[in-house]
Amino acid sequence: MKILLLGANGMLGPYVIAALEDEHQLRLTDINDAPETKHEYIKLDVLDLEGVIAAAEGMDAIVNLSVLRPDRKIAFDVNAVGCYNAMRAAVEHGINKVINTGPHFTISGPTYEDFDFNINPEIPSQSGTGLYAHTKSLGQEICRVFSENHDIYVMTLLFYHFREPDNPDSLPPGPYNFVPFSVSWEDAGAAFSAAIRTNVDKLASRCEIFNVFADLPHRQFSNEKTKSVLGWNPTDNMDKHWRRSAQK
Amino acid sequence: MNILLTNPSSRLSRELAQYLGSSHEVEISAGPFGHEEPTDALVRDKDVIIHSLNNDDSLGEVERLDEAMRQTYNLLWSAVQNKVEKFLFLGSLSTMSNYDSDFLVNEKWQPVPTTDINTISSHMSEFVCKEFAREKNIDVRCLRLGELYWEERINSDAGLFGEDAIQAVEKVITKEMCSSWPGSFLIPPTTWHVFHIQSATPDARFSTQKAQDLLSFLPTEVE
Repeated sequence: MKILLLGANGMLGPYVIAALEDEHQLRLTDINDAPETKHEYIKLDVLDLEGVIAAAEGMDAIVNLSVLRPDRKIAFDVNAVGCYNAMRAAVEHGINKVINTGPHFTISGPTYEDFDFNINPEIPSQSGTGLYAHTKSLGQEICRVFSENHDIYVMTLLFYHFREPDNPDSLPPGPYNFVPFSVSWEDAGAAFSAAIRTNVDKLASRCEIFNVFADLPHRQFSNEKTKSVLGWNPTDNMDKHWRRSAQK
Repeated sequence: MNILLTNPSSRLSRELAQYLGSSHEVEISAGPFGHEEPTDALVRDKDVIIHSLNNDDSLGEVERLDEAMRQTYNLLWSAVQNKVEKFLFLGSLSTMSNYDSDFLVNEKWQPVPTTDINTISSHMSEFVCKEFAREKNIDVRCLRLGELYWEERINSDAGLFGEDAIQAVEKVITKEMCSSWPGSFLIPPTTWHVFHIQSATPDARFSTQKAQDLLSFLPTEVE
């Protein structure tokens, strides 16, 4: 499959590339200069609608990894309008598979996270007004609207914290700060491979959301749908970080 | 009341400025609404903000979405910071028109926007407004307006005579919500209020019953 990656130079990009490159032809794009890569690379701002449409030509799928958090103008440009541009490109070229990404509070903002448990991705979106969550949620809503109006399947993978489970330097101090929505970088990359492999006929709708995190014992969020529908299975276990026996 | 109106390029905003100006202090601004001091200065000391989108086809899609999402967010953010009492968004019934036209659609139905830039922009603005109403406890009201006309009636089952739009705006910004609603003592007050507004044509496809009941909106009977 020919896959366009938007925002391929971010922190997650290398793991997604590693997970996909053996089986697929990749076209990488990012606003930054090209890194050393064997893949085709286009320097591209996702706010550039015509540029995104041009970059998507000849592709079978689009993976949107683009993200920006702190700057209010650019956060809207990248996280929300960037999704619109990706979906417009999919419509323009008849691309029917889009993998979108976001943090878990794209859907389950403070009104869920501070109150509820067993939070699954089927809940109605309540991102709250925090800049990062809200702009990503707007992007997700744009994807949903496009999928309802066009023959495009959107699979959104939600993440929060990325960890190297055996590297103490990558871990937060103390289990309280270790959000029960954490996944290793490699398992995160594997989720993209699983999503790309998934036959869209298996999806319940043209817009489906998946929580991507390791099997964790807290029961605050659920990753069951990701495992059952995408066939993704996290290999890195993190529950040792909450085991008293492992602290000794 | 001190009122801030946006989108002076629309006839509705200009007519509203004139009508409301006879009994309120009205300021009208084209923006753009950034997140710096100029927006705060505009919003400061206002009681109500009446916000609508510029449906100028000469603007690109990216600019239209920026106005619908970021600039609406900035206005709401500033409104919260400056303790503005009410925020009114003038949306569009086009976000509801994808249902079978035989259905009488009211505010309980899920929006079904198309990807037409006017429609999706209006929907995304509503999305922003709703999150502020939910999280920031600001009283946000949304009128989904039909297709506006001023002199000659247009051929639409969602037509809205301009004077009806002005009437609805005037009523929704002055209405105290919650305490006067029948049965309202049973449920906690909400800060998110949506109303469908169109004139009373024989083939009207949207129900305005909620606006009639709660705002005393009286749509013009059009033959």
